Amino acid sequence: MQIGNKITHAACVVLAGLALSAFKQGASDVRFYKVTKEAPIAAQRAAEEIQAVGGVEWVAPEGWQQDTAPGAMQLVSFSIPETDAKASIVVLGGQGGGTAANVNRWRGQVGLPPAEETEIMKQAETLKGKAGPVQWFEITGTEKSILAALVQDDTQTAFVKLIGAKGGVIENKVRFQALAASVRFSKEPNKG
Amino acid sequence: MRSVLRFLARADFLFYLLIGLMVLLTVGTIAQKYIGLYLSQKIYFSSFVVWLGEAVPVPGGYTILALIFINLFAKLLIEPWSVQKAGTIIIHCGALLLLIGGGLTARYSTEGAIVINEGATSNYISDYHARELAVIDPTDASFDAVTAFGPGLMQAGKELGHESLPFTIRIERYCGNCWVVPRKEPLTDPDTHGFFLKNDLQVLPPFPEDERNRAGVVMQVAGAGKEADGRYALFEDMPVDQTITAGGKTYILSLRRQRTYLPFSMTLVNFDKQVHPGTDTPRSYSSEIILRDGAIQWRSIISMNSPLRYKGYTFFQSSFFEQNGSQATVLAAVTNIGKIFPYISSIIICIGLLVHMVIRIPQLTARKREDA
Repeated sequence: MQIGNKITHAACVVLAGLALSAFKQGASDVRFYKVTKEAPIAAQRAAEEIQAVGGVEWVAPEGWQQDTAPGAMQLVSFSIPETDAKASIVVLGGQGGGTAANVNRWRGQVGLPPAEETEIMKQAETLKGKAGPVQWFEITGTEKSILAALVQDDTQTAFVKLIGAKGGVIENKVRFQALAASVRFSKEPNKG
Repeated sequence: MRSVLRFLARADFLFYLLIGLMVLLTVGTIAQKYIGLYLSQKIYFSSFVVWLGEAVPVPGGYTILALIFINLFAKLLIEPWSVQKAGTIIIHCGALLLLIGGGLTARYSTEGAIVINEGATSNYISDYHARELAVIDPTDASFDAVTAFGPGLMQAGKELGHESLPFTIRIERYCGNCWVVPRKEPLTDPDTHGFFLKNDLQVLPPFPEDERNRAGVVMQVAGAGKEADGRYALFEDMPVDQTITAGGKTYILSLRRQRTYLPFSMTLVNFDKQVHPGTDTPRSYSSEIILRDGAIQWRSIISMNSPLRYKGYTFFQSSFFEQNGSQATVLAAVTNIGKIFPYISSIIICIGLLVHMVIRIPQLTARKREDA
């Protein structure tokens, strides 16, 4: 009985302590602190390391390695560490052959049969990019997957593509979306 | 001592307190419709006293809950421990923990918003309700030295000062919601400075939605030197900085929502808004952010039902706005160290009820046998 009472009293003391700490006075009403100066938004955006080639700008996703020698027609290509996935940006005049034809070509690359245009357009998704709405597709084959986005203006289309084994592509979906969203056409073509 | 405890632990005391709590909950809930959630919560629940018609004081939420705590606590103290009463004691402990959790939430939880423009970085939360008067010394090239006077000091007659400042401030007028009215004739008084020369602050009734209120302050500065001493006025989020030059330094004055700086920063990479077809009504929106904490950094997507939790903070996608062709996300930021208490206390109360039931079963079956 006595041990029981001691336990009860110990529990009471713990509860009282907790209650007191709950109602303890808060911090003082005057605070003095130092904060790093806020950079202007324009400067912060510059820190994103916008890259540009041939009048097209993009921001490379973190962790992706830019290839020194991109493939034929590719403006830039990236290797993704620890996966076999590769990403690239290709720019073609006009609509670059059209959305449906390109999607069917990509379907072929992952071992899927061609699909009707209406079926393809149903699978189109949109994300908000710097150049406006960007249409993108997720094409999943038996072993390989492709994520592809189309950034368009009146005269040209940039195709942003990520291809590789399913797992690596899914892991990099967010980075791919960030890359596709960052693509835009410079008003004055960049000579770099 | 024991008689006092016996008095405090009386069951009828708890009975009347619970009735009082129910009345308060009903009145406070109805009042929300007329005065808004924030004011109703402040007047009825987050207060020790509620004034009826500014004349009759009745106990507020804090008082009633504190008395319930005392009642249960006293009951626990005088109740002799026995196996028969183990269930009741556990239930009392659970209820007390629940009240302690409520106290911790009331005292320490914070709610605010972090606003980030697309491509920009932010590392502070702005409180939804509390305002502060910040005096910023931007002299150093790498940092701003900020002296912030909190909401408890934003009242007429308060004297504000700190060792970091070569001057003092006395609040002449403070209004929770006010509007700027241009003066017909600018003041020529040499003791009036800046924005207040051509404008005055008109006090407006507060909006029920506190986020719509714009605070304003008229204040008297002393000790800054003959040129700088005098009256100044500030308006929340005013586009032009008001400055004071004293002791060879120029200080920026700012009336703003109270800021809490985070131990990490967030950059908004992309804000995505999906609308219902043919309308501007958002269907869903999400923010892709990069969180940087020292050398660590990673991308994360915060969407409407998918918050980000990090270092005790929870960030919810709350809102957004578009301005000058660019978008900004508004993330609600919440900290609550008492959030775990309701779960723990509910489990304890359930265990207490089960123990009580198990202990009572032999007595009940015995009584049944006697009845038979």
